[in-house]
Amino acid sequence: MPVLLVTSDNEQFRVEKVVAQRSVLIKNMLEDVGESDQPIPLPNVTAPVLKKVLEYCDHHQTDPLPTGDEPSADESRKRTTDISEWDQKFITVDQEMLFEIILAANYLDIKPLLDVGCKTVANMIKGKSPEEIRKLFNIVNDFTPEEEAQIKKENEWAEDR
Amino acid sequence: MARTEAASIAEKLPFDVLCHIFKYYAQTETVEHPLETLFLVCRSWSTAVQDYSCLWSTIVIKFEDLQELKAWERRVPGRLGRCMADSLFTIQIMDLAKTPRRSVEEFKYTITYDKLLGSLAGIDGCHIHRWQKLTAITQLNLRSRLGTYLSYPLPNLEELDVTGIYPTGSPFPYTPMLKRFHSPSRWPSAFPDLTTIEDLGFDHNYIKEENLVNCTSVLKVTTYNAEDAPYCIPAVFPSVTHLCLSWPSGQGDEGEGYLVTPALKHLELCARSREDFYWVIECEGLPLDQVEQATITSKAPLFDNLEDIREGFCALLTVMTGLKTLEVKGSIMRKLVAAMISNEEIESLGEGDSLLDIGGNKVKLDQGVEAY
Repeated sequence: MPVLLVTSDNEQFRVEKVVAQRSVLIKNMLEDVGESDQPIPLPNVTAPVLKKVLEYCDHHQTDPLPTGDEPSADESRKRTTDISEWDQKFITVDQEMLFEIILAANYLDIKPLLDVGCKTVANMIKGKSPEEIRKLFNIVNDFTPEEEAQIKKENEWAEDR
Repeated sequence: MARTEAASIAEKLPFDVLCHIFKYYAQTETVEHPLETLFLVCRSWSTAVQDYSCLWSTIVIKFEDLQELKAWERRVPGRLGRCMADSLFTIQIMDLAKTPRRSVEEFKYTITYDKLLGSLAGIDGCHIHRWQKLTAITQLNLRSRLGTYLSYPLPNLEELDVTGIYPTGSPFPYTPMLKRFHSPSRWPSAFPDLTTIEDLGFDHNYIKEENLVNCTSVLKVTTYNAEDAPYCIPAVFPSVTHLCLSWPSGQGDEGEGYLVTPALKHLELCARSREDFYWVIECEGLPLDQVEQATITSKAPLFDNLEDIREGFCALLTVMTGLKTLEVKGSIMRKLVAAMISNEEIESLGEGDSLLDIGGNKVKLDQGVEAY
């Protein structure tokens, strides 16, 4: 049975329930309203972003749903910043879209997609200095020189190099 | 334009999203680029990284040389200071030196390592009751240091992975929560109480039969084989459902060891030869017909004995009549299974060869990652 989703820019997406339910938010909403043709408004997601998110949900529609349990000891020991080949290709987007996907995954409660986005950002900042991270994301350095000096002192930057 | 908009989002990510990113960043940190790097990016990142106290209670210390060990030794007190007063610690100490150290260096290493452990333990061991998970993979000369700290009561310790402990004093006086205990090489000369252990890993070359008598709650057993010797310990594990074996046939004379696991459901085998498969098949205490999940890794050289591996693998598949999921790890096993499907020795039921017919059973095939 298809589900109708409406984005913040008023675009409608008709998707299979099994795909839409990868989002815990949508799944809960559907459970609350029961059998209904009512469209589901998603005021925090634009159409281009929802299109990407649904592409992910469609590809992963048969994956087991995350249980919310803590990972097992063995799982937590594995290197977990690795991303599968399909997901890597999927998340190869410009920075704006990357962050929009992360925010949408957070809002829609799609944990595996949030993981992929956050791992990608973590991999992007890996091995970079604060200056390089700022440059990468155009982040403004809003510390005063005194504050910056204090943080460096507290963390013994010079001594560790 | 796009970069500017992206920048505004990067600075304004919600706290929980930032924390999620930082959690993954923490897994990739190095001495040169530690978590503390994030303090200096901008105010919002600095506040988030400071407030995400869970980040600081997981302490992963990887070092290759003395300079790196010293850097961690200086950094650890600050990190512990950022944790909540009641948070429990996950500590991983990984000595990544690729070659044995020269004896002249050992003294300096030992002094620094002792200071590091002292910081992690706190004054008079005040932090030790907060150790929840401890992994210490170190070279020989550093192992004796850890034994001292394991002589304190460890009321919250749930997981302990060590390459070896040479205890001083009376180690493991109190470990009521310990669920996992793995020692992949030399077994310590003293043991924690094993009655609470659910996940046990031991090297059969360094353990005695009587050490395993109390393992009544164990659900998963892993046997390591650093000496490449035939499996040599008789052991009965009534509740074990998951068994992991490393080349049990080994080199040299046949061992007198055996395993009895009447509840077995998941078998993992890392095989180096045909004989490893036959060791498992001929071990009478392993009810292979009730195994539902098998994970097979082969570490044999690719072209030396592929036929032998194939023979042993086929023989094992024949006796696992209740198999539902087969995971093959490493390029050798993946290629072997692909060749068997291609030669129609195993029938593919479609779905991209992810469903097989093995002896009339529908078996899900999981092509695992490269063997490690």
